[in-house]
Amino acid sequence: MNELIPVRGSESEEVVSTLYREARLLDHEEYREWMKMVHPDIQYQAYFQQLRYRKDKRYKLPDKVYTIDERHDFLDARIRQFETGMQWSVDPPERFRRSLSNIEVFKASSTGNYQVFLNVFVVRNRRVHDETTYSYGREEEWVRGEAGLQLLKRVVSLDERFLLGKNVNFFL
Amino acid sequence: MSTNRTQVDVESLVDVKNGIQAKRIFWDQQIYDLEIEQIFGKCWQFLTHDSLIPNPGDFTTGYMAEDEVIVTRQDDGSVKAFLNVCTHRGARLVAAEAGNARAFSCTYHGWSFGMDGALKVVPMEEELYRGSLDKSKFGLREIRVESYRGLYYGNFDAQAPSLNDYLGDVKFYLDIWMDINGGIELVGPPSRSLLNCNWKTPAENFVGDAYHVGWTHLASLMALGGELAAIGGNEAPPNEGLGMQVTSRFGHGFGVLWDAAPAVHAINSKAGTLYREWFASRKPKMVEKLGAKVGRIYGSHLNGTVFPNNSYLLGTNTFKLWVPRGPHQIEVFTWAIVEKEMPAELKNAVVSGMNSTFGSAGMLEADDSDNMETMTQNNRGRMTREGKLNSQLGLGFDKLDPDFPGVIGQSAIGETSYRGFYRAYKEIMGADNWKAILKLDPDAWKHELIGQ
Ligand code: FES
Ligand SMILES: [Fe+2]
Repeated sequence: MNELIPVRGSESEEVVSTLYREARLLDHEEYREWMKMVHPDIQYQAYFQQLRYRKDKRYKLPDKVYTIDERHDFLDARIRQFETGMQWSVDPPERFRRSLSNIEVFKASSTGNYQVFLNVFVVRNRRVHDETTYSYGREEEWVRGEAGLQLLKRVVSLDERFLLGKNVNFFL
Repeated sequence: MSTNRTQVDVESLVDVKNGIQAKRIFWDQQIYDLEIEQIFGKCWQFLTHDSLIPNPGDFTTGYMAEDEVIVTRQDDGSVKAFLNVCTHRGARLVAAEAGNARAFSCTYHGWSFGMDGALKVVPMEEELYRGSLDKSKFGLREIRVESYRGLYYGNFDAQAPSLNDYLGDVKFYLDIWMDINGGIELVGPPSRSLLNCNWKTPAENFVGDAYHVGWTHLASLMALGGELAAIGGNEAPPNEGLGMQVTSRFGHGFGVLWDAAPAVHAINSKAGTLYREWFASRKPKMVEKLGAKVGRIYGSHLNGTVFPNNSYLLGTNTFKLWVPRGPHQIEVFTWAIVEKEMPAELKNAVVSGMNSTFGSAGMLEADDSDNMETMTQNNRGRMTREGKLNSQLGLGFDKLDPDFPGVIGQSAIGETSYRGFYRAYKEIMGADNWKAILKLDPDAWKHELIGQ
């Protein structure tokens, strides 16, 4: 059975500081450094959820739209896109501030991997007038590798049904 | 004549012969109001697809321009659409985006409507209305619905030509993709996002802009590889001509990029590999059926718009609806299109590849959005707004082709289908009604575009 055991103290601090470090690398566009924190078998997903009535159990089609459902190869392609130097949409650069909160760290009894739940608030500034904010939840799994903790799975729940921030062409 | 029609000089907005449009069409409130009345009041607008409402009682909600609508599957399997507005005091009837229901009850006073739109139950009817309410007069406002290959479109105008006649010449091409091999389905739910642009900027981009692909999307193409990487940087088109463009009487059009169907599904991704194998295995059959010239469309990349605001990319598997919210804003709906006969593994790979490129987190979608927005927002400037838009690329080289219906532009990089889009736009904006449009010489539009 896979039990989730709460993690406290220095072990929890290690996970939290890893999350902070990741957010800083992304805010500073240090994508290759960030990729070192990403496990080769990464499953990276983000979904919106369709509005359905609570009582409606008869409509059987999926209620989630995975606006991101990517593996290592596509994350790498996203970074290569920035590295071409021809990516005019981020030139002049966009600026990001990622804030992480409500972080809960568990350990899965079956695998020993860390299971993390947290909330994220992002402010993205681009061009002259575009300030957009994003608030979402993350459920994720981190695994201990030789070079520290690595992200194995991230599932992002984008709460808005209707994306006001234009796009989510950035790492969540 | 409506106030809007007296206030807008439609003649001044589009110069068909010279490939010119007034910039005001992206900005002015009066032009927008007239579009809502003339274009969105008269033309077919996408509602849903069979695959999204498979069973009786299934419904989806959405928009026809700024009107909210419900689309429901009836017990007999047919599909009806209604305004999503209670006939009592006008509250929104259905708040869910999709579901299965036996009735729709209004949240305000509890009037309840059947799936066929009829008013069934009025709370305390006997006691309060004492027999004075004729329920048969208060059914939901029904919208004309017709379907094509499982796609449902709605029309507010009873006089409009059938959806089949409205699609006209482009059906020939859509059939190559949508019918001949077992059909398509849409994968939902759609994602929804907001862009601060006029509805026509993405509609014209999808109807025929291959010119921007190598430039706007250069970084994405470099990162993904694939068939389109060759035109990255717009240095020179490949010497065999790249493709063609097609436009039709009511403004629908598209561009073809030869043999580039899986173009944006990254060359080394699962979707890219499986999809390229799929086309390699299917294409010979299409060529056998249709001949080499026409059969080549299958396996090619198509970017198109069904006038006014429904766009698609065949090959990239994107299906879009640009819903206007005033002259300077749209809500974008994006579904994935797949071929029904694809194995599940390929369908899943293609859906995630579509989202990674043209969904709300899409790499190429993000490339496009700045252009769409600045083309609109720059017109805040009065001097800018008085200027003209240029769609002269390929002007003078459009022709008719015995093998291909519609008016044909001889290169994928051209603006033939822009010119066809705005020719129809002007005609429909200025017409008294469909009768007046339909009684004209059915070939006159071709001469107008070709210039003979
Ligand atoms: S407004 Fe719907 S019941 Fe009154
Ligand atoms: Fe584009």
